[in-house]
Amino acid sequence: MRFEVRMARSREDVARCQYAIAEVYNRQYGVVFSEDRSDLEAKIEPWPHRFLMVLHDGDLAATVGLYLRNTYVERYGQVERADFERTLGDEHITDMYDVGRLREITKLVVKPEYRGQNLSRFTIGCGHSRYFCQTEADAPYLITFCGKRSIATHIYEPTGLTPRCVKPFPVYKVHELYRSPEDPMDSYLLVPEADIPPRWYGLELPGEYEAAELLPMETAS
Amino acid sequence: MTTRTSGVFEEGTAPPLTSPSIAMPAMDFVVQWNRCGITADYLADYLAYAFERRDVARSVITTAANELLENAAKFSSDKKAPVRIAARLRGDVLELEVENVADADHVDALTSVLDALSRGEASSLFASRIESPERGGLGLIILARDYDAQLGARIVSVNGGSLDKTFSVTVRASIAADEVEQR
Repeated sequence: MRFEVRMARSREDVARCQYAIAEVYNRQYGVVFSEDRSDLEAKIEPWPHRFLMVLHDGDLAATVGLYLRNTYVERYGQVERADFERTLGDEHITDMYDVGRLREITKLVVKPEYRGQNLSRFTIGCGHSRYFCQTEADAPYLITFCGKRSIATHIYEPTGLTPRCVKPFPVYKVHELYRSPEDPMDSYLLVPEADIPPRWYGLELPGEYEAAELLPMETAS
Repeated sequence: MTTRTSGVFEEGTAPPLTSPSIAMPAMDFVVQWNRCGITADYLADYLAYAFERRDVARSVITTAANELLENAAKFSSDKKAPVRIAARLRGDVLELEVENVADADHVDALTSVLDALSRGEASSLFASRIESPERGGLGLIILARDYDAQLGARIVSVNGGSLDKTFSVTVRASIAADEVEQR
């Protein structure tokens, strides 16, 4: 299946992404959203600043968001600068990147009618294109996310992305229907040149792509 | 279609002096939760002109309307269906009403709170809820405790028959005008 992939630019495009995300997150996790405030105990989540659209014949099939600043991991993950630096490890990488410059991939949603086609992996891969995650950047940002371990192993790793686990993510009420003791949440870090395959990091956006061509390691489930 | 009531659901007899109402899809609130507060503020600003102590009335009305709206939006089982909020000012009493679609679990929890409030148990309910991780209905309890609001609901089965799962729920808070102005 061929998809048009582009960043949401117009107010209408942003609203399409927000309503698609809100519908799924509210139904599955009882979460609501706000641009002005967040309260994880009251299950009010902050909206991402940017959205990527994956469209099929103009229909929004999947979307993923990006925090440009004040990432969820920094605000709620109790991750210190030293935790990020320890995760980076290699001195060469530490010199290249500032752990204070972070962006976060978040709120991945695949519409129900498009599930079962590995679109979550395709969308996550596209979300790591520098034309999305490094948009409006004067120097490269490190990419972070938080999620269940199963997301890292079933979505990120088969896509070829190699996230580095930073530390366990604290327990909040907002995640009560998402995480479980068997599948806990962690904060992760990706170093663009090291952890994002070139086929994703260099993926030109906007563009039209065959999902299967970019997911060579996996067949549709 | 069956209809039942819970708590104190008695409509005032005096004709309303004003009766504004607003309706919007529940999903609009889910997407921007601050819309609950904005809508409550709008209604409060609109109604406050009818009171002498406008700032006080505005504060009480916006608090009550926000609690009702947040409950209705949160527990709407069909987020594409509208949430409607209406106000009727009947001289000595202000009635605030929200209507939404809800499932049986929410109706059971709501009626349990409303029936307890109608028995005058606001203070004990508040004490037990504040200690509990389950805070459901806390906003309604606060309205009863702090503003002496009379709270009730009309519950109408939407799909009829014995397999009822969906209900149209109208929750009404009736607050004496003196309480609205905190006299």
